[in-house]
Amino acid sequence: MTAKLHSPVATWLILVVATLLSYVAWIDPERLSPAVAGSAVILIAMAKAWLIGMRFMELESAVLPLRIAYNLWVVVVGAVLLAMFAVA
Amino acid sequence: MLDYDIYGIAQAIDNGGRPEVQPHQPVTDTPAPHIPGEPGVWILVMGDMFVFALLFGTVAYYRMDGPEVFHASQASLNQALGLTNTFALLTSSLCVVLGLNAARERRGGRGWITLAMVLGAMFVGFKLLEYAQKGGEGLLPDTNMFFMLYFVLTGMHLGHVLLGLLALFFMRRAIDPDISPENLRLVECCAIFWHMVDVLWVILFAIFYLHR
Repeated sequence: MTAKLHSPVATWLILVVATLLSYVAWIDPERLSPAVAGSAVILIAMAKAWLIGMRFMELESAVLPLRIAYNLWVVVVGAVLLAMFAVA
Repeated sequence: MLDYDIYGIAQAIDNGGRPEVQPHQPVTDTPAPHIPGEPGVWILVMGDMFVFALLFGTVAYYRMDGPEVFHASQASLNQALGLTNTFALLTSSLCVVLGLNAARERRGGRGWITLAMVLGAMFVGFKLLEYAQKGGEGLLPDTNMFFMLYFVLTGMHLGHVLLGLLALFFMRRAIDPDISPENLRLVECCAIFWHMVDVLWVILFAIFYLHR
C-alpha cells in the first residue's frame, strides 16, 4: 500500500488533485474567507513543491544535507509568502 | 561478503547464469542515502531556487504596497490557461520520472521523454499565446507593478523551460537500452533540472493566478 502511494503515478495524482483544490479556492471565493483561501493556496503550492522534490527529484533517498537544504527552502519561502501575503 | 560471493557464483552456475540473492542478505526497497545526479547540478538548482525565492519575496513586497492593483490585475489573467499549463508541466514531470526509471532498468524510455518534450513545448505555446493576449489588451510590463513582475518572473521561468527542453533533448539522446553509468548520471541531472522548472511554476501559478 505504501509502495503504491509512493509510485510516480500516485504522486502525480496527488499533485493534480491538489492543483484542482487550489483552483476551486480561486473559482469559488464565497466558500472560504479571502484570508483562509489565500493561505490555503500558498500552503498547497508549498506542499506540491515539497512532494515534487521528495518524490520526483528523489530527495527522499538523498543525503541529509541536501534534504535539509530543500526542506529549508520550502519552509522559508512558504513562511515568508504566508506572512507577507497575509499582511497585505 | 566473501561467503556470499563464492555461494553466489555457485548458485549462478546452478541457476543458468543468474545469481540469486540469498536469504541472509538484507533485502530492502530503500536505497542508501546518495546524491541524485551530480553534486554540480544541485549547486545550479539550489542557486536558481534561491534567486527565485528572492523574486517571490519581491512579488509579496510589492503586493503589500498595493493589494488593490494586484487584485484587479490578477482578474485579467487567464486562470484556465494557467491551470492547463500546470497540468502540462506536472504530466511532463511524470513522463520524465517514468523515462528515467525505464532507462535505469535498461528498458529504453525515449518515448516518455518525447512525450515530456511535447508537453513542455505545449507549455511554451500556451505561454506565448497568453503573452500575445495580454499584449493585445494593452497589458504590458509598463502597465503597473503587477504586470512588470508577472512578465519578468514568468519570462525568466519561460527561459528555464526552454533550457529544460534542451536538457530533455540531451536526455532523450543519451537514453539507450545499453546506457552507460556516465550517461545515466547525465540523464538524472537533466531530470532534476526539469523537475525544478516544475517546482518554480507551481509557486508562480499560486502567487500570480490564484492568490486573491
